[in-house]
Amino acid sequence: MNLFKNEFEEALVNYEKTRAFSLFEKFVRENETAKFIDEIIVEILSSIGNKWHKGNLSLSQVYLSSKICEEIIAKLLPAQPTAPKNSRKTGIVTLEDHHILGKRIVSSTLRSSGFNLIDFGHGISVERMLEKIISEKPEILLISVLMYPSALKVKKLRDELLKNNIEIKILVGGAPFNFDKNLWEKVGADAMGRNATDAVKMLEKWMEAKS
Amino acid sequence: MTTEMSSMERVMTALDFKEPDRVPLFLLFSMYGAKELGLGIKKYFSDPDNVVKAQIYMKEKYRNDCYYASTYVAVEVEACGGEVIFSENGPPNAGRPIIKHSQDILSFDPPKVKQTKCLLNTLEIIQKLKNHSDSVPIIGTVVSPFSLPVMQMGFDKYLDLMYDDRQLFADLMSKNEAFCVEWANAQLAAGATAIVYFDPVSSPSIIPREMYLKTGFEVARRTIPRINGATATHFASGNSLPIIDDIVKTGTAAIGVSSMEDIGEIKQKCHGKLSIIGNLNGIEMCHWSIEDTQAAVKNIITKGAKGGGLVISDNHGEIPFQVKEETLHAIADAVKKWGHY
Repeated sequence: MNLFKNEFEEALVNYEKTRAFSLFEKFVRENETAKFIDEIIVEILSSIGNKWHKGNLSLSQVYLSSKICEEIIAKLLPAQPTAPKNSRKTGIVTLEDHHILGKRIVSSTLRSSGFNLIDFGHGISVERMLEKIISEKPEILLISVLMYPSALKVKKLRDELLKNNIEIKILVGGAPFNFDKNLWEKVGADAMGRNATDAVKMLEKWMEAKS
Repeated sequence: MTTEMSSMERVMTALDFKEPDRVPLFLLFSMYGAKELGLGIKKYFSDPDNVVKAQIYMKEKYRNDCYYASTYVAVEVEACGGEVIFSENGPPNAGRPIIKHSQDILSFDPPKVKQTKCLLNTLEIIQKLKNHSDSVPIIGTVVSPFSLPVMQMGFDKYLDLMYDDRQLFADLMSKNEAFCVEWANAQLAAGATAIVYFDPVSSPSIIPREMYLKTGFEVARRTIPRINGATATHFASGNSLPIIDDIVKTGTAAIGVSSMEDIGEIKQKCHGKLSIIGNLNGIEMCHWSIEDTQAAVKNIITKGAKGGGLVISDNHGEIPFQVKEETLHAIADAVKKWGHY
């Protein structure tokens, strides 16, 4: 199994799509498909995320790996529908700016790990986000930002939510939070993810707490 | 004790790997000038005279060693016909991508500097600063041809292009390189002393070295030698340690380095080959105490100042709007206190 995992990870980080797909096909011929999500994709994307955080891999490798995994899942799921892992309605947004790479990586990783997500879009203002929360009623919101002022807008959103008596778990991520380790608390988030893997872990924890 | 040098002498001596009177300080003020003049950011940038006035004022107020002629990074997208979104407390940001599909690259026309108002504004700023003083380095900026597509087409689509369509990628690089060279040389002709070549995508934080050698490295090797003056390659918070030997080969004179990397280690790899600009954490700086500030400046000086080749600056290439005046004064005080050779 370890040999397979190493090979699959190597195919992902080297962006060898054909090799990654043949490894996946070989695996599901011999194993249950659900096992591929739980034991291979979740673990490998976690390993890739951690290596990026330690500076051993680049952002492009994280992005392309999660993209390949999302394509594999898309191929897998219509044939093998499985219940999503999230018992709580969860959304994701890039607040204020149009830098969407972080959101794409996190979305791909979460979807590849079996979570359903509402995509609230990008370049969304606090006011617009509040409207969307009121109409869609997510219980968990993942906010991705790149610019420091956008990170500060999370505080504004939290204040608006409090004013409107709306309880929602907020998980933040993005460069400003990596450069200032305590920023997530200052802006009123419930947690911070250094990478997409942290987002998976935090969602699993929040889902577990709910059940 | 060396006699006090002008900012120009101080910076040039440091970049020549010699020890000036003290370590030079580059507080890279872009939108911060709006705060100093009490203007909204959009209004501030609408008139070159505002920027000139603020640069001259902030140089004296914070004992800065440069005029930073950069307005906002997204100006290059604005020049390409793109939208710029102004906020009340942050850098103007590029709006929706102008290259929506990779095939749009074929019909994309890079801007002509002399026909583009927003770029002419920057040239006017440089000319006026040059007329004001010859003894202060004027820093111009370009976004590298390799990093500009993040704003032109969006990061995800650009990575897809880089990995999946090398022909269209090459077409875009060719167009961007021509624009970058024209834009950098126009700034130098207007009076800029040197050009900061912002190239965050080349950072190993963003792409692996193997990809860099096939892409950003080659682009830099074609572009930098065509720029008629000194350049400093800046990774805008991205790491650079694993590619320092490669960066040297691009012909650049200095690098802007990340606060995530150890300045001592960088110094060891760069000394005599590349000067270092950095690496104060611009995000943490927003809430630093005086003690935090002193410790951060002292650390850089202790590890990186010996033998010259160091300019103290932030790690991103821009002082955030949220940094307090007291912190900026504390940085200047600390440089004065511990930065003397």
